[in-house]
Amino acid sequence: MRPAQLKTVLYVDDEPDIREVVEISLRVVSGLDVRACESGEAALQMLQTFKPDLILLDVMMPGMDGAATFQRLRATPGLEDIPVIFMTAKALPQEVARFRELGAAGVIAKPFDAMQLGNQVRAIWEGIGDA
Amino acid sequence: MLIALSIAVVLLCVGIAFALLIHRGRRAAERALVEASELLRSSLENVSQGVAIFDSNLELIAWNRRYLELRGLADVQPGMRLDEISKRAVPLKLRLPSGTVDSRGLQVPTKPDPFDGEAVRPDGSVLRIQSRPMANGHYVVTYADVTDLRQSEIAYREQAQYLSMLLDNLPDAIVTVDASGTIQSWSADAERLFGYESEEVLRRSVAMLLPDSGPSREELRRFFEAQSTQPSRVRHEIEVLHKGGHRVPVDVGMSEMRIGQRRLFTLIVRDISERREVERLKSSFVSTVSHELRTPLTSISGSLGLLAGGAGGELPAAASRLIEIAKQNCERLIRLINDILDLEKAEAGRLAIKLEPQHVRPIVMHTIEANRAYAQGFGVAIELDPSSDDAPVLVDRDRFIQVLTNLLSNAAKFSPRGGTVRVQIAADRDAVRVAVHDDGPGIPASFRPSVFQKFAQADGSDSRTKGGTGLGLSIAKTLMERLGGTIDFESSEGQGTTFRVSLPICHAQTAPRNALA
Repeated sequence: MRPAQLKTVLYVDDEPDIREVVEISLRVVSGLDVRACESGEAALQMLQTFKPDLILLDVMMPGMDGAATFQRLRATPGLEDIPVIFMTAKALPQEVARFRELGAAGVIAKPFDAMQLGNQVRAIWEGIGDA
Repeated sequence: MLIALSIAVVLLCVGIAFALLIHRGRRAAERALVEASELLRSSLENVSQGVAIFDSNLELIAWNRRYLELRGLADVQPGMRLDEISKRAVPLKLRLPSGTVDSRGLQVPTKPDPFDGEAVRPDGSVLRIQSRPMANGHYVVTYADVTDLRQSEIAYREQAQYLSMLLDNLPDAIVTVDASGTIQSWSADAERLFGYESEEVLRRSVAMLLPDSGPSREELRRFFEAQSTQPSRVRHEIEVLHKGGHRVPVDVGMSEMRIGQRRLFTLIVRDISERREVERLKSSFVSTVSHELRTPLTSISGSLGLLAGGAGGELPAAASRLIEIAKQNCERLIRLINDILDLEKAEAGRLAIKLEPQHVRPIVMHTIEANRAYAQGFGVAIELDPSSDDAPVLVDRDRFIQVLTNLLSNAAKFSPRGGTVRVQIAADRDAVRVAVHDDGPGIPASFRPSVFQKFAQADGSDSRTKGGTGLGLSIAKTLMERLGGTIDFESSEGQGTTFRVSLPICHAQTAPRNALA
């Protein structure tokens, strides 16, 4: 059951600086409870004990990339319903369409406006299930 | 006696009459002979060839002035023998006969048996000599100066050899097919490109060179079947099938020829595999570099944005200003990377264009609203002319907004503070035009031809003061072309500039088409 308000977010990105910026942005500017990790494998590990309302998933990561991580999430009982937003530096229209077909809740392009990131995430969150 | 005298008188009269008649007949015959002779001479003088008539003893009977000229003779007399004339004439060097000839014909002009051959004079000019016997045993020998003809033939042969050499050395394969698609000719480079020897393809269907699937067959078929009344010429980038079974990307130029009632098509086929590979590498390079640049820029712009937005706490005024400068320039760098990527994709034809019927006015209004805040940053207003038209067009909404945004942001940047950017939509039966007018300084005349070039800036300082990348108008032009429209502008220095984009009206029966080629 999806909570009425977005409170907790997991951010997965192999770039430590971007992880930090996103954490600060979502925590300080948007007041969200944010945790972050560096890979799809680490995310699956973390999700055993932490179940966020939403996952922000970088696309290009070494090892298990965003799409593969997403597939694993969808195939894991208890995690399959967590909405996922992809974050990508290659937000080509065909890529965005591909992520949507996969079942992503949304796509946010990098670089993003760090002061508006929380608003973007919330807008997508609120739009889930509207379509 | 009287009777005898009368008879004598009558006989005398008859005799006189007869004598008179005979005399008159001879005169008439002589006159006829003179006239015939004159007629012959006049006829001979009026032909362009040199003509000489010899009797069966090879003695000269008649000739014309042209004969004397061509044989280099000052004069001849009736009854002169052919061998005597030949000694006095300019020497001729016989060439192999050009037609059927008796072997003894090589002896011409000493013996004018039936002969058709050529001879070269010392000055290099060429004579065609023909000798024919007449029923009465006489010979008519004609001499024609064929120097120009032979030189033309030599020039034609040289030209043909040159063309053949050129075609064989062109980097393009040249294939000729008829209207049924049957291959009629096959150049040396066609062998290299397709892997087939000419005997393997001649008189076979051109379809054997095309893959079973893909647009290649369809495009060629449409071209062959087009019942054009005028010779046509088109170019396509398609894939063809190599003998080895692999596909080869090619650029095909197709020209139609009509020879009499026959339709022939020349296909000039160029292998573009290398070009495609270079494009792929370039595209991959641009994409990789852009991605690698975006990653650190994401951290930089995010950090600066958070600092400027106060997420890191309140900053002193000077620090705040410095952070703002850094943030603006970071955003500019991001725009530049995005523009480079867009342009690269558009030029490589990889920009997905989804054309759908849309009304222009709502798109324009949306774009104006989206750019209003940006323009206000320059103290500039944007107004849509209330009398503007509206019309349906077949367009990719996002790409058209990208073009309009570019024009509006340019207009805002170059307008004086307090100025207004005016937008007008005008439609007629065929097209709808959106005009964006600013009251800026105008585009200098010397810069106008370069406006749509990449990294074009009228003044080096402009990019610094206005924050442009110099790619926007180049992208706009490429996009408008991909959308099937046009872009142009009018400008006068000190009077401002008007950019116009035009799209064809989408009539009801126009089906949506996908321009992703």
